[in-house]
Amino acid sequence: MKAVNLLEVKNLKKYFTVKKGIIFSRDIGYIKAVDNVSFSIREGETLGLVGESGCGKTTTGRVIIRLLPATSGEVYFDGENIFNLKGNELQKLRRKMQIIFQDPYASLNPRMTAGEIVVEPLIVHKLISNKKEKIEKARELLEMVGLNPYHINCYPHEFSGGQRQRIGVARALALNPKLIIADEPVSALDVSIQAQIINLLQDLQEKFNLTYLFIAHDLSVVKHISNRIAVMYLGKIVELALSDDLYRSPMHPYTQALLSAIPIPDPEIMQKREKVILTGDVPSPMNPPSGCYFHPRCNKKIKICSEEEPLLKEIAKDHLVACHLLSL
Amino acid sequence: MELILEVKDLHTEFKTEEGVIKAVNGVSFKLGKGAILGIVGESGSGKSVTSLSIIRLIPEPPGKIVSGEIIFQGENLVTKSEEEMRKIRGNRIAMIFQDPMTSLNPVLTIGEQIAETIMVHEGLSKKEALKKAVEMLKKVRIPEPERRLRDYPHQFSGGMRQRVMIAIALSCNPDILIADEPTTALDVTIQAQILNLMKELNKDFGSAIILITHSLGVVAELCSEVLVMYAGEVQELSNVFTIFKNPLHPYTQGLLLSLPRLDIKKRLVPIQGQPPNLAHLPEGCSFFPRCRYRLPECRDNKPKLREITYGHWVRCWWVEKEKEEKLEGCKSTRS
Repeated sequence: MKAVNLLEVKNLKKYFTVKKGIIFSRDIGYIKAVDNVSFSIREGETLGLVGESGCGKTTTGRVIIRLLPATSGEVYFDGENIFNLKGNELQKLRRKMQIIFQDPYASLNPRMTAGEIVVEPLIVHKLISNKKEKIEKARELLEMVGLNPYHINCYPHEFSGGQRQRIGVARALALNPKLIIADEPVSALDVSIQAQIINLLQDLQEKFNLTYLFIAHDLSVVKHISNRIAVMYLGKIVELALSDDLYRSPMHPYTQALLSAIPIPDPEIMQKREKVILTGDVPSPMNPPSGCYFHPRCNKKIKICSEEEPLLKEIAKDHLVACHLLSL
Repeated sequence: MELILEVKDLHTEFKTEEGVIKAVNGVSFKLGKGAILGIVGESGSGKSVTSLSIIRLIPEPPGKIVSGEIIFQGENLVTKSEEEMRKIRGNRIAMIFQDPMTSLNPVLTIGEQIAETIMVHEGLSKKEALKKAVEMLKKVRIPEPERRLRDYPHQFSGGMRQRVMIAIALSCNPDILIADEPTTALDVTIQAQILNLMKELNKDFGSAIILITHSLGVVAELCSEVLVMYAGEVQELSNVFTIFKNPLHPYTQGLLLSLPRLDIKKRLVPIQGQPPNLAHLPEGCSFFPRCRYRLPECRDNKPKLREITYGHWVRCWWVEKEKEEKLEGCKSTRS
């Protein structure tokens, strides 16, 4: 693994305005979906982004790939600030960054055949025009993701969920991208199929030296596939560490609770394990709590937690945590 | 162990354009009083249809319980009339569903919905029923129950709604609570809260629980007995410790090997192939096309569910053969 940062995200913010009224609508507040998030991904690395629903992990992915405009902040891809790109340059960048979506049912056009879907990116980017070439490329792509090339003329409804997700992966790979943002790529799939897709993603990474931003809510999946993991809570990163470190010595109380909440398929371990059960729900991002966003649910909170927002600091080597308890 | 429910050779089918779908194909199991039975399987394995058959909520047509018996406290539920079932449903057998968002009525307050069940089944007045509703909300740990009683479902979060569902289900103190993927729509930290609550309530109320889930982790956490389903059939049945320590059926083994785990890092071993089409099941073992250990006889002959060791039931030719070979090995070393 080279130590070059392929992607650098700096102070990224994405606020959604909340409106009231239909004709004379006015803004009544913001939802801070992504609030001052910074991280980087090295070439060939997998960074996992975990958190519960509504924590902003998907929005982060979409802002990075410019499917949503950012409110502020910078994203550097290969040293270039992508928010400044327009027209042709943006088009070129899009070849290097692709996304795989969660729902393999909704993300494929039902009126296109598998072959048409996987070569579509090449047609959009005008890299291919002749019919014979298209068929050849489509077969090659389908084969690459473990589908039989004779499926080239089948429509999405003829495939099972796992096979559809393979088509989604093939489409993302068509342009030979460097970075793939995988947004919950396996959460809609059954366990036995989930493992097939995870192995496929790992094999492809090795083969093409791909870099992944792997977004998921399932920490066991994320830990399995990632080199490093960022844990998000209400739009902020609360902990960022190597995945083994994060599992072995989680430092943020939220990460600790999250880890202990995950059921392990072994009843003997489950009986012995001490569990931290959080009380309450994730607060509304419309009016987040003061100070540390996690303090109302935290069992270790001190006075400062409700007053001041903790910053993400390097507590140990390559281990960043945003918690007052650790920076006292 | 005193039995509360016994399902015998249950067959439930659906008629579709593609042909008859055997969603539940000869399922048998027993449920002890106060026990927690987990039914695991992937989508389409028939686990939900099994539970809906027990409570007789199969939409008919296209569905139908074709044969089998469901013995609940000495009575066969399959032959009961809709009227008789209505007295059992919600009262003696209650159910909670996966999506707490769609299973509550959005135009009634939470209090009214809990009270409704109590009024129908216990014949209390509305005032008394509402009083009991407050008590139930307290039991499922909802803060300020008197005030929340007047709230509507949209004012509750997902986890809170599932608590309300549990409160409704337990309000008549049922003998059996069927929970169909109760935590699948929830975040992990909320899932942990709900599982914990169910464990406590199982102790307090003594209701037996049938937990339907696709997550082996949830099973390991909550259940005492486990039933693994595939293609509408029970493939393996045993207590929770045995099934995780010594899974015998190739499908159960495959499921465990394909799970990424927090505590162990290794390459996943997925089960090859796709789940079967229920309209065109293989003639022999339904897992045959995906099985790693398949034998020639598996293709044409359906294996039977047999007790391999005490309390450990498996439906597999390969397991039976292995056992025979082991026994023979023992004999030959002795002689």
